[in-house]
Amino acid sequence: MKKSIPFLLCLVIALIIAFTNMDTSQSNPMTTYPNLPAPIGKEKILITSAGQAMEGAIVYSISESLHLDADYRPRALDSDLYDYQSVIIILGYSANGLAYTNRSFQEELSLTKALLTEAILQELPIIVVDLSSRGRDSKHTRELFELVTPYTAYYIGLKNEQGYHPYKQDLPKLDIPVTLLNELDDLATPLNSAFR
Amino acid sequence: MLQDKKYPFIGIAGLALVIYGIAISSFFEGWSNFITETIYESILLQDSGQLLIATFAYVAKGFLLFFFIYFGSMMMTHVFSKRVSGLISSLLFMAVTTISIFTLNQLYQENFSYLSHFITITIISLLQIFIPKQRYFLTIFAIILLLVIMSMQWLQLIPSLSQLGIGTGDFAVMIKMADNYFTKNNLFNTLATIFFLVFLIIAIIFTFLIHLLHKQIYTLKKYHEQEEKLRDAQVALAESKVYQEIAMVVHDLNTPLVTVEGLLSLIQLKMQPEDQNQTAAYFNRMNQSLNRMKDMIAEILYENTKHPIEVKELLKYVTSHLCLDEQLVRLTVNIPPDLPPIPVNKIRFSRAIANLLENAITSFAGKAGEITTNVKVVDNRVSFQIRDNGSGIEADLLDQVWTDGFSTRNSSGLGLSFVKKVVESHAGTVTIDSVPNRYTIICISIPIKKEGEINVERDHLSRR
Repeated sequence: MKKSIPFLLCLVIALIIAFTNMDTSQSNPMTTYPNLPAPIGKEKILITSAGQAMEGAIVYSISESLHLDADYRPRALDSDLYDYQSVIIILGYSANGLAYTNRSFQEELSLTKALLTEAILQELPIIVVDLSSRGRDSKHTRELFELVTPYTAYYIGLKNEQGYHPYKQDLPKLDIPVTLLNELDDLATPLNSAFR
Repeated sequence: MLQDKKYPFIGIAGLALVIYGIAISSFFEGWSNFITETIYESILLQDSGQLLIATFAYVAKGFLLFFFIYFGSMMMTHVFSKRVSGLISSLLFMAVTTISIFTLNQLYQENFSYLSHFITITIISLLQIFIPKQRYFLTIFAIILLLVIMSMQWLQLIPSLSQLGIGTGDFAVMIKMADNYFTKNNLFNTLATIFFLVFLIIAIIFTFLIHLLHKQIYTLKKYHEQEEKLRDAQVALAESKVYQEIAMVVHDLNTPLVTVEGLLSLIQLKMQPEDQNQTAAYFNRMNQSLNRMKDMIAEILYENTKHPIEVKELLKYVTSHLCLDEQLVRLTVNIPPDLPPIPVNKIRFSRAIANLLENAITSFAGKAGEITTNVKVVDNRVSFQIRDNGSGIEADLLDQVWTDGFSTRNSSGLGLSFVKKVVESHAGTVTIDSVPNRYTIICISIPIKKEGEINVERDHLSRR
């Protein structure tokens, strides 16, 4: 019996963590899909990243399938905006994505801020696509979220069991159109409606 | 189990492995970039084959990282396993691994799942119960750990378990997201589950096979020990019977000896030889021989029969029976000239000294060596010191050498126990001191006979 104590202790800890992670709360009823009365952006589109999550590649691939005129430039700078009429920012912190670009998180924050400021100056609509699942729910993603959302013209996120993430509770107060997707495959429709 | 002196080395090696495991992400930055790049390519080219390549690279990298951390932690805590209980040792293992995972998350912000870590520890703790704590514990543990970590790496990639907090690491999230885009997670829900189960089942089967094998070996060992004991008992019984028969035969020799003695006296009376002639000399020699034969029979039959004997004569008798012709051993005997005679049972005491000398000769295993026998008087006792520079005996075995049946050379193990019995029957003491590959010293000390003491003591018939 004594030999089994470590095993039982680990099992109990694992069960507690698993139980804590399981969220049984009801979905927030305010989620909408789709809710844009008219297109808000024009082509040509710059698809870039805030946090270097690889979801940008998925959004670019979907935009290609929609025949949208878009470029995928995850490392785009504010000086690159002259050629575009809309910006799609893919939100999500990825440690390995960032390491791949040889940028530190602080550099990423300041570069993103500069890009956002320039986009507002040039009156380019900013569409934020936030596909951060639970795996991306880190303090860095939250910082990026807080940085980007005040500049957002349209927010597309993923609906999950919890409805909004706790740090996304203020989204409705920003008075921006929000679309929460049931699954990744549903992204094509709001993306298309933003431009056509 | 491992020798005590190896433990510090294992502990340090364990610590080095843990540190290496934590630092491995920095060393293999190119590997991480390859995985990131391959995942990007797989999405942009819509190529699920590339995604599989990235997945295998991720599993291999994660395996290396976690193997070093878990195995290093086990080596570190294994050092304490002899000093603290198994429970504390296991808790230490849990603490070291958890701190390592926490450090990893803080250093690289990879967001490794703590739930996965505790599931890994749970499985390891369960399987560890069945791993025998024997010489190859760390090797067996390494193999089982290898399988468990491979299994856990695939568990990270099961998208259905993401809601529980499993597979929150950066690469795991990337791979599952890409799979979601390609196949709505159908591919990895199937593939990762299969790989997870396969590796886990192999780990469980391997552990149980090792457990069963160990049980079988343990049973065989016990069976073998019992067989040895039975054989020893049979040998002892046979020896006892042989001694009984010898004692009876020797006892029976008394009858014809008495007849010979009587008839010799009768012939001597009838012949009346003159004191100076040759026949009288022959009769004297025959009487002396008869008396010697009677003494020998008495010494064999009665253990406590003791006669005063000169030490020089005793040792001469012993060494004359030793076979040193084919040996490279030099035997030196140092006896002071003024030693008093000692009361011993000549046959048995000589046998005891001979046993010690034979052991010393055997310890050289045919190589050159030196045996020195020093005799001296210390506090009204005669001390025999036999010193050789042979292979010696390990310190932890010195207490056992007097035990019946104990032997380091696969012999009967009765030689030294016989020595102790004989010395104690002479109210003496025997001690041993040895340093392996340097020397062995055996000291026998017996009291010197007091003036006027009766020479011959007799006891009942001796039976072994």
